Amino acid sequence: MPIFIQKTLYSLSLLLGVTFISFMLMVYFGPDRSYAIAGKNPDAAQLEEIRQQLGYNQPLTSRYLGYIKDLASFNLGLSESSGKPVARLLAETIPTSLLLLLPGFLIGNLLALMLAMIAAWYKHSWPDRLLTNLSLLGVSISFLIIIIVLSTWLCTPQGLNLFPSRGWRVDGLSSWLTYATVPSLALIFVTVFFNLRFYRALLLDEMEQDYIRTARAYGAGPFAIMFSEALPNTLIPILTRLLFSLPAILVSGSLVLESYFGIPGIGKVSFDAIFNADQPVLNAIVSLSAVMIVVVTWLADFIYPRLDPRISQHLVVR
Amino acid sequence: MSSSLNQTKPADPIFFPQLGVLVFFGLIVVLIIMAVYPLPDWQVISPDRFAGISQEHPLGTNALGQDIAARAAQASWHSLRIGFIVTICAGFLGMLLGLVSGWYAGRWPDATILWLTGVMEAIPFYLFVAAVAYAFRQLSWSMELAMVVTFWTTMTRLVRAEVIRLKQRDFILAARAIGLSPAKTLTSHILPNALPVILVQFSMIFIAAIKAEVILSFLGLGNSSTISWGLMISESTQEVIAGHYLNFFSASILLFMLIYSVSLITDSLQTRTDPRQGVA
Amino acid sequence: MNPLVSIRDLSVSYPGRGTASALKHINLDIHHGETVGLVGESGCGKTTLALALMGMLPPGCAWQGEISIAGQQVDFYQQAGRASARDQCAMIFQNPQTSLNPVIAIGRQIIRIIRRRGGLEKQPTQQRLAEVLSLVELPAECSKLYPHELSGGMQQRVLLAMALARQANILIADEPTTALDASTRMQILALLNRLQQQQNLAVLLISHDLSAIARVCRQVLILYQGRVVEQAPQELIFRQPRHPYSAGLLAAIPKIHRRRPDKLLSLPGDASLEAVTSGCAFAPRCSRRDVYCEQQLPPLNCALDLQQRFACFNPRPIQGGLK
Repeated sequence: MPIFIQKTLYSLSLLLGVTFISFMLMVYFGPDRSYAIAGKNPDAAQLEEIRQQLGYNQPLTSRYLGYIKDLASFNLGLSESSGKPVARLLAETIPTSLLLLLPGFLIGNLLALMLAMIAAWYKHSWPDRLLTNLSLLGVSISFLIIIIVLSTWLCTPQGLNLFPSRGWRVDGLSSWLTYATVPSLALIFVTVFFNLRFYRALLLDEMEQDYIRTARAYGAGPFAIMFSEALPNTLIPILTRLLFSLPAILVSGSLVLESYFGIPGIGKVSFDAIFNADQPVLNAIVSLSAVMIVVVTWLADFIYPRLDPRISQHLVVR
Repeated sequence: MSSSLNQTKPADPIFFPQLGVLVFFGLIVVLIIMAVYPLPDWQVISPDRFAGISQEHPLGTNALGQDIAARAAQASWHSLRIGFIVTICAGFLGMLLGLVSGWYAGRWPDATILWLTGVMEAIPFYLFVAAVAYAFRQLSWSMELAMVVTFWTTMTRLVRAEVIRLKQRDFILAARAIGLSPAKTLTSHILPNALPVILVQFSMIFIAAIKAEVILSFLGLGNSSTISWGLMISESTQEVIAGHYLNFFSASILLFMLIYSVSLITDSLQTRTDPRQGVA
Repeated sequence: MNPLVSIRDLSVSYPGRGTASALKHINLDIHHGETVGLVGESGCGKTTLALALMGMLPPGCAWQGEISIAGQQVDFYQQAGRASARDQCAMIFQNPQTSLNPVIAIGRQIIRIIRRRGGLEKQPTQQRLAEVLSLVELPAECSKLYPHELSGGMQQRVLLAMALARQANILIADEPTTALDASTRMQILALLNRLQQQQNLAVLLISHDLSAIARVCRQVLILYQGRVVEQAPQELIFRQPRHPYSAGLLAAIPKIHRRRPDKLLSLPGDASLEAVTSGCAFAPRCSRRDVYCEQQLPPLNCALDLQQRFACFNPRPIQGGLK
């Protein structure tokens, strides 16, 4: 199966590239730990010994190979700031981030799709124009401003004071609602406006197609046309967008949200790691995100032929 | 059915396409007024904390008694500077790589560039910026560097697709048939036809750079030697809870004006150049 | 008997495309089981007429006139999914490849239409699906296939099956054979003929292919720049066209069995929407024109002949025929 092998090789080369860049930036040019370990006023011999132990004196290639070996065997090391194993740190925080981000992400995309359907159906008349103008306004408002306005309005005594302004003590639906509502609202706001125009353009393209004309001629109503005719034809670009934005949302999106609301997820962990120059943690997160991209690519290859019979297995190239 | 003459003309989806240019000029005028107005230095700390709007402090002062108007003006120039530097560098880098990749589509330069694109897109942006900022901490422009190195990828993908599409056209085939060099064909025949896509992507990079700069400096990853909208917003999160809104509003309104106007201009550019998006 | 379809004084124009209208003052009746052919060069308004009948004109058209189907007046724009007298119409299109939804198996596409018409018959859906497929001579296994797995002829059969599934009385066929190759074209036309007779369908066949019209249609309308210039039974129009334009169209058909093919005839000039005169639109290209033609518009009933009506002041003489 040559295409299959080609795909595997490509994924591996992608992983190699990402790990090489993260190695160069975070290990090779990264912080020198020998001073921290040696303590105060070390002499040159002490420093040299520590550098030897840490492998700083080895050539670039063998250091990189050692780095790859550690990653491949899930030997992620210990966090330098907290001393915890990095793997456990990730296992503890990823579920929190998923709980925080996934509902808002999905609701936001669903809402964007519904609004895009309305806009595409009423193409060039007032609902479409209203939504298009609103979405331009919406994408122009910074995520930060939305977060600050929402939290000031909903979480402080000056506003409605309905929710706690920080923290995360979730053990059920009601506590989830308490802590996740405001961050989710901010995420939904951003997701809706970020995606609305894209989905509208996709659906507008489909609405021009001949088969939509056929469906109309054969008595299909607005819902049938949108959901049964146009939507199946746009699933691939929609799914591509969803799948490929997921790693970015999980790592980068959580950074702002979790550091602002003080939620112990992957974003907070990477925020802290950035400021403590906690290499093992940063390395793990970067590698994790690259692995997610590769997994998502595989997933796409697996799903697409099921959505469009014209695509034969393993022919999708992103 | 009535036998009336019914006529409706499909309209531009944007209510006021001119609004973008208007807001943009409004912003420039505000910035010029701020530059001309005799404001105190943006760094000077005074005992006059949380002052209201006055002649001396047109937008009041912050928690340290610093003049908000002066800081906002400084931050605006800072943002614009970063926006333009990143846009030009990343835009041209992406364009160049896209041209090469598209021209040699299917061969090794294309494969290499596509691989590089894939790698850069697989690295989480903020962590990458943090790492670059650390690795090149001697440089004052490490944030710009990080943005340039990550923001070219979409441009490359788009330009590559355009080149591949245009390469099949008869007029390009004709140009190549009469022996025009690849560089000449690319610059004088393909580039002008790909220009709408490139222009739109340039302004997309601009918007992305401005937004990213704000978030980075909000998180404390920005250039700490100057003031920026993100830093002002970060300062204001505490002030807002105490009921002082001037800092927050001046930064966020300027930020909004800039992004909204550029978005509107981009949008009308897109509507005008993309026949599919245009008026039926 | 009341006509099934009745179009009265229909005019349609597209704003922004010059002052010329796409259709001007069209009157047309189609009775049960009648076959009407609509002929003309591209851009003469054939498809506009079909879309007007289906209520699917692009938004932004200016229109005037009345359309009734089965004695009921219908709205100019059909709201999607809303029940109306238009449910008796079905339409098949020029490009069967793109007219079918590419990601849905054709059986499901037909079943959707059967379900929409479900109330009328108690027959189970699957049985009805098998029935319409056999009527268009497609094997039942086809229902599991996707459009791209079928040939152009089979795709057009699927569209015909959809028309049958809709239980339409009127079939509008817009250039149904143009995209097909010659042998498939004949098969589809034969199938169209047979279905028309079996189901007693009224057919409006739109084509610039006169041989297709000759095979299927009793009544023929010749359209020139949005106006009917000649309307007559097929035998009459083919034997002795009266309007110079009709004659030109017929003369342009190459005849294979002619011993030595002389130069292919073509009409001088073209029918783009340029000169808008107060007179006959065809006058600038017409060899029989006189001063009067350029001043005054000839009405469709220039002669007191109810069989063959034409809009020309200087018609070709009856005995003329074709050389």
